[in-house]
Amino acid sequence: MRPLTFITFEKRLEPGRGARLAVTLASLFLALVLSGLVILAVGVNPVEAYTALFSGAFGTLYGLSETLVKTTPLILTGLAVALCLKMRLWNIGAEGQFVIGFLASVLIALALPGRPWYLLLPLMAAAALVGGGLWAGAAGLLKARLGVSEIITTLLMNWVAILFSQYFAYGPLKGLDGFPYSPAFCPGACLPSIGWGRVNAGLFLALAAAVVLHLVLKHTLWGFEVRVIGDSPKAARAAGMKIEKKIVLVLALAGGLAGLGGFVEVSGIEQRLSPHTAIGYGYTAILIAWLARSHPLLVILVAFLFGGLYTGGEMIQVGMGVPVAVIRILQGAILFFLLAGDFLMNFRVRFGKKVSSER
Amino acid sequence: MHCAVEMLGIVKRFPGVVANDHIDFRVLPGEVHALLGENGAGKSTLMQILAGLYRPDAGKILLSGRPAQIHTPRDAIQAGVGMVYQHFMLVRRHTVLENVILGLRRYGLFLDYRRAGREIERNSREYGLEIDPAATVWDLSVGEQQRVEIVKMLLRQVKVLILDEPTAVLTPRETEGLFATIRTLAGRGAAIVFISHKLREVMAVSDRITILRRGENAGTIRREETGERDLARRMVGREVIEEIEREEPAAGEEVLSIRDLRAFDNRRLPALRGLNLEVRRGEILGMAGISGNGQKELEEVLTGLREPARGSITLGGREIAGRRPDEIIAGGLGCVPEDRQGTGTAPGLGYRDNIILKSCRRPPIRRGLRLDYRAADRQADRLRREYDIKVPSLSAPVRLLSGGNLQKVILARELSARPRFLLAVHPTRGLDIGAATYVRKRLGELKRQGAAILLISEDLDELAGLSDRIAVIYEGKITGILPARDADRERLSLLMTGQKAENGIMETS
Repeated sequence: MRPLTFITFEKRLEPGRGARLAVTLASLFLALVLSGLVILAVGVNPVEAYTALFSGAFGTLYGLSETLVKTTPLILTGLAVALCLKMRLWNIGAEGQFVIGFLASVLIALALPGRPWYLLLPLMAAAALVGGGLWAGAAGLLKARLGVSEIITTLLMNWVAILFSQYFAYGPLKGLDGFPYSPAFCPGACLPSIGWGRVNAGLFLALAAAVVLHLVLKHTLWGFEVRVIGDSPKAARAAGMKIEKKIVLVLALAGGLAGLGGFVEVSGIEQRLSPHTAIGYGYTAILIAWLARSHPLLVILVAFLFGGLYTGGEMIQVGMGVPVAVIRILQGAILFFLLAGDFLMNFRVRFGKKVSSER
Repeated sequence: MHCAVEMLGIVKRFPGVVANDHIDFRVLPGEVHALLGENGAGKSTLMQILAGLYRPDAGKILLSGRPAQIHTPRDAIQAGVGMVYQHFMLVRRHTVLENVILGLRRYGLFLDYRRAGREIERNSREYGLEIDPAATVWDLSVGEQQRVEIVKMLLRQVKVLILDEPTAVLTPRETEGLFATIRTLAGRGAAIVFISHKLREVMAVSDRITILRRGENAGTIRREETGERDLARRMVGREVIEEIEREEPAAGEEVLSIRDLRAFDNRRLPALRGLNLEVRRGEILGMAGISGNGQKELEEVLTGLREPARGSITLGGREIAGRRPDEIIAGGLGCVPEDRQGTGTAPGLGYRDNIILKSCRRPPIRRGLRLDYRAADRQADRLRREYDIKVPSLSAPVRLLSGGNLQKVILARELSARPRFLLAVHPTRGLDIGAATYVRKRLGELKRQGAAILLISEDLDELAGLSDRIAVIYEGKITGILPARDADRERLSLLMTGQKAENGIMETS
């Protein structure tokens, strides 16, 4: 227990709301600067690139519609991570749960071709919900019963889900032409467009999910217990709450939400199975949930910003030759600075020798 | 001959307490010196100063007659002072050998494992410390880990070895082995400091004994000149318990009854070994005992947090042993737990949320699926006034509250549920006098309202002042139950160290 000689960290009592906002904004800014260096390295003026990114994502009606298209699944996967974070569970598996929901929807759509939408859409949504729920619930069960870290299981199950879905694309559902794509959906299996680009009814489903989750967390006994367990499992257990059951339920519900994300993506946009269903919405969701401080309504806002990042990123790739990987770097940098910022927010950094380390 | 260690006028203050108050302490080379005292008497603090973990506020340290500057554990090791802590300082994933040579420079840059292994084996053979240098630490039993710690010190060639309650984690057999090692070490000239509160062991192994009481040195004596009774008396002092006005119990019916309760602790060692007890309506049953004798496990079993291995507990006639916490709470249990921040409250949540922690499952707080937060606010506000709890707002996180206010939050929540039986564990520990008095007053009121109360405490004055009867727990069993008026410190302290007093004690079957 030798005192650190040069830098010491003292725990702070309560970071204020202003400090939180400042740290968040500073993280975003530093991430932009860091990624700007990378953009500079590929020979593009970062200011121009960011301007193009922003106006591409939010500046035109078309760009805005594409941003909303990406926002839709991001809200649902973001909620899947945020709900778990409320109970201090790390759901790294929204990606896999999304893929399972996607696949479950495809199977229903292809098994019942030509049926009317009022039969198909609810069935597909239910299958996606249950599929994603069971997928994540399994990780919950392992955590509750055996104490296996959900971080590991949910992450590893992603690869199982992705390979599983690719098996279907390359195998049983392969198109007659031999390409790894399933046949396209019948019209009844597609979410209706709202008449603006590719934006579809899935957006309203995602918004409704966020509002309902917010109300559940805020006003029900169930939500209260999630908060208590998240803060202090010991106190929750002593107060008679059933933690194991809650872990399974929360992960299952989260998986269901991510599964619904897969449903809106396939039914609203893709409308067939391909080997490329996993495109990172589940991982971006971790960032979204963290930035939104796991508040369901803030998830909507942050998902919208990240939807814009996807859209704008594609646009500057086409328009300016900036590789889309820069967007990944930007996302990573945001998380990096945000985590560092959170540390600084909770600790006060002192330079110089600490006097003593008493307990 | 110089003393191996001389500590002169050592003072160490912590916020609110003087842990060491001008203590003089001398250890001779080649002797086993026991440092005896109750919990909180300042034994560990004094030795942690010697081992470089704390710096004293005043006083000086001489090693072999020369003034020593000990600022860090490394300084202490270099000066030949090593300490084996109660919580071992081992890297659990590493092997014994890696742990032992960690921090040692003499095996070179490329670590001469063969030589280190040989030295470990030679030392462990010589001192009867059987260990396998290739074993991984987390595969070892606690006793074996302790041996690793001692070997670590031997390879650092310490001349003064401090053992902080080394037998607390050992089986009787392992204890015998440890004592043999200690004697061999002392026989070769090392000075051994043996921290303990177990009289029998102190008498068995030490040459001289220094007793600390409330941060002061209460005397150093040779083993031949004393006995267990004498030591017990010196340890707790001779003060008379002040008489507090107490109403005679209305001798109500049994509310809580415990029969042959057995349970294991986290290390899978028996912690409760056939405990019998009953608490009646309208009485406070005090439970005295040195901590670590099963109190923690008893709290956990009673509240449903630990599965008992055997035995029965009835609360209001219904069996609750092995039931879930929510079922036991519904059966009328209230609890003021030892761990206030964590078990007693959710520290990051607000005051209001902590007040409804248990009542949230019942009306009027719960309305179907919904929680009526307005009713919760009203209840929290009413209790805030009734219990005079100082909170900045209903939603302020309770971890910002002072110890006294935090305890009032727990009391308010537990007492307002009108429990049939209340378990209060160290309810006034660490509180200032005002808050402590308030807590005691509330417990007295609850008793008058007819509840049965089990009060677990280390404060003998508090036990004597509040309880109607006092039970003493030792090694997971009740060694005796005395009416409070017959309970004097001496008799209690004997029972607390596992000895039966001759007369006047009701034995429990």
